[in-house]
Amino acid sequence: MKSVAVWAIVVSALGASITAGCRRWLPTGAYLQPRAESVSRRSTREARERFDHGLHRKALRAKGVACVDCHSFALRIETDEEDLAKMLSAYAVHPRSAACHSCHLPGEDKMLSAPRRCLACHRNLWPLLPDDHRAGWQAAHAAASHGDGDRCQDCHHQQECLDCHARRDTIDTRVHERGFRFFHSIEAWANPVQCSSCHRADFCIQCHRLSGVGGAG
Amino acid sequence: MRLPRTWVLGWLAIQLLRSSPVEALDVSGAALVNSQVREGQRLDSTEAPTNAYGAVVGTNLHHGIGAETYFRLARDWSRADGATDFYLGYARLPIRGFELSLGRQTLDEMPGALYVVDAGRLRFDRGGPVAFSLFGGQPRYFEPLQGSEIVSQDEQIFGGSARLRSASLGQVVLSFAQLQREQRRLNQLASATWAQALRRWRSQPQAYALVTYDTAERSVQQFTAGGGFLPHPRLFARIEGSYYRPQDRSAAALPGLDRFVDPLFSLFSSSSFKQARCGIQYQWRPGVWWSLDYGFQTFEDATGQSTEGNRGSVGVVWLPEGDGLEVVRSEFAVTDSRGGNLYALRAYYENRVYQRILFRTKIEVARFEKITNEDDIVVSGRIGVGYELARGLLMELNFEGNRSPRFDQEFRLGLFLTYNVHYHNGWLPPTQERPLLRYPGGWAG
Repeated sequence: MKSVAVWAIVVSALGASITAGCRRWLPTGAYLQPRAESVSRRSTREARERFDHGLHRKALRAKGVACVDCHSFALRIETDEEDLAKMLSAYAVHPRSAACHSCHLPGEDKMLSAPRRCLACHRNLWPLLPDDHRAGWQAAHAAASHGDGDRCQDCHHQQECLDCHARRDTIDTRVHERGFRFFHSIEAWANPVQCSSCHRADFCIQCHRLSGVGGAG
Repeated sequence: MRLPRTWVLGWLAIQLLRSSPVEALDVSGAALVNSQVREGQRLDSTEAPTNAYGAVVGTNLHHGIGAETYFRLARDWSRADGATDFYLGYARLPIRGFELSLGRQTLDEMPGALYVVDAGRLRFDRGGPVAFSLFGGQPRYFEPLQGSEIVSQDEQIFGGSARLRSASLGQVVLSFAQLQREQRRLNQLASATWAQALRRWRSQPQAYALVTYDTAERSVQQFTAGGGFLPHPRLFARIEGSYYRPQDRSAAALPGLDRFVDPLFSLFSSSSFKQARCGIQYQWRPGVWWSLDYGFQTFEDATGQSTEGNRGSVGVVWLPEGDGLEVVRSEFAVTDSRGGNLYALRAYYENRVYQRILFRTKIEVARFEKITNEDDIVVSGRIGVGYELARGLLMELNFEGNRSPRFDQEFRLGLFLTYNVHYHNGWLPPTQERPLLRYPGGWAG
């Protein structure tokens, strides 16, 4: 028993140190998610690089938006360091995210015809994950989707809903674990309405009535 | 005869699309094969159920036409009668500011058990303050019927909705829908939904409400209201209350079943369902979130007896280094109801740090005490190792072990093969670049 514990500690420490090294040195693969460094900046920068003045010309003109409303050309930078001056200049001239969000952000609605989809400009969604999605979201997402389903489609395909709700009996369990059938009656008695999110009465009747499995309880 | 006609129609559609130039074609496809080998229900038998999922989405095909499909093919290679095929497909046709969607769903289980469902929707939504839609057809369901049709599939649903959006009022959706089965009306509902998010406020409150009124029975069927806000920059809180009163139409809904005698069906005759839920989520430090949820439910069963239930959970999500390449999730959940008590501990770990390699493992330990004097401990555990063979092509091997009242030990071996592909020319919003089928991951939700 003692040797097992020692081996477990050694393997865990080795795995943790390899993981730490790989996180820093391995290049980002096609499947792996982007690294942590400057993730939030990358999202804004990517979105900014996708901005197309031609597409926006008509809308901005209609709203009376001038160049200087987004770009601070008038800023004067006084420094002898050329690199710093370039950086500050770029920082000042490039509009911040607020310039885009003043028209596009959901709920603000300064320009209702502006697309609200985050993915219209952003590719890296990790820094855009809504606050309420961080933890315990699976239990709460149903109410949110009923309240404002359009908000879900800002980022998600409808196929993603199907992908969970239409899955059946696969080894990749999503909602219930394998042992759920042994205590599902406890959950059903707590909230029978929740079962109908995915199941019709047929599903219950299949086992309980036709196969002779016991009733409630 | 069905197969050649399908091929001919498919060939004609491809020729039609090829015959004219396309400015910005965008096509995404995904396929997932999910197979397992497990011990069979019968003595010394082995089952090998295999599920194939697929999705194809095409937009801007020609004149802005879009088409989407989703299918699920299930086979048990150890049985001759274990096939269940589910197809869903629809086309979106833009017509002068309107969008017409036409869809068909088929559930093909075995010879003589083919269920076909058609539906359509006409929608006007140009992203402005007003949008509306009309819809009609048959509702779709995903459940395999296993060849025995207990609840009739002869259902129709039709109605319409209008959406209004403004900066001060938020979003309001007014809708009407009627559901009928075998020409008998099940529901005739008028609904109003409201949602508002005030993101410029310091606490960023968001709120929603839903009222559903049964115009045929002249009674409120459902009322739900809730919302969330940030009382502290690191703390998110949400609260919700619901009232649900379905009309008891047992004779029309489930003919032939005496719901007052069978205890199972008395459960599904619930009425005057009331629920209160609340939860908080706290960011303890960068990359670590705690969550706490509680729900109280009470309803009347078919005999008029009041039943109460409580569900609560506490969980933690930890992203080591904060980059999402490693995910640790854990949850302890307690359920107390008329059916008994349940205590479940769940843990999940996922690692994508290594180039092209995915490793994940999860475990659930649940102890239950049922009203029928049954009590036991159920354990489910799984380890998976995946490798990205090529861009978008991931293979994963799974090993699963279970302990339950029926089996002291039960093992399963699983294989995943996931492929996501995307093609587009010209500039398009990159919405379609999201995988259509989720990559493996997020087991613990």
